[in-house]
Amino acid sequence: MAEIPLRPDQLGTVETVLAEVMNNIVEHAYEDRGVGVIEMKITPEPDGLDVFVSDDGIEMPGGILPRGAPAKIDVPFESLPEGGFGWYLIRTLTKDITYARLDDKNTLSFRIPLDDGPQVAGRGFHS
Amino acid sequence: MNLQASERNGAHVLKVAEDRIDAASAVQFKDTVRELMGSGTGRVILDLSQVQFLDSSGLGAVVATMKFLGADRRLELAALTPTVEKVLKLTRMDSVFTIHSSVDAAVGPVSKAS
Repeated sequence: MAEIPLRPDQLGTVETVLAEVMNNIVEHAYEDRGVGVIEMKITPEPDGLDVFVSDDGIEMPGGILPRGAPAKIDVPFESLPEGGFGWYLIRTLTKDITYARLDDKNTLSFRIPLDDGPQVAGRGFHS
Repeated sequence: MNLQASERNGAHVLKVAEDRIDAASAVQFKDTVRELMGSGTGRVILDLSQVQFLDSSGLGAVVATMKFLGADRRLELAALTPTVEKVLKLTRMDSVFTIHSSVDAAVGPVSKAS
């Protein structure tokens, strides 16, 4: 497994995106079953990381990705949102995100742009 | 979920003695704060200096906690680490909380007895 040197702030971005993506797979694709396989391939590019994720869970409803609208904050105190932040974070921190259902698997691919990019380009690793 | 409660200058300071508030711990966070702070009054300041990571579930739990405490006991946050601050800023939820750079800044100087 290759090492990709990232600054702490870049690591924070990557961790945020991957955590939200994996939470969604656990909670929705695998319906919080507690068991399931998530495959992830991360490829460093000069300006960021290309990520491919797949799982064997249930299909994304409607076969399309949630819009991830920003949270509504100009609302009364009691109506402040307690959820719906995840897809907004994913969409804000990634680009070219694509979902496809292939051979009974969910597949998600996206790029995490990292200004100044990781130092190593062109070497992929599996985890 | 390890929360350490103390009082400073009349404010309740709750230190989250965990590295993360995330999908795995969000519910316990809410429940523990309710247990510790449910029946009190006065400011509640959440010391997040140890928390390195907050995901959307963690953010939701902090918002739920703020709503639970009510508009009169508006939850305040202190000592956000970089990734936590970034998540709050990106979602614009930083404008919903009073945020202090440190617990000291939040509670203010101890007044000297004269």
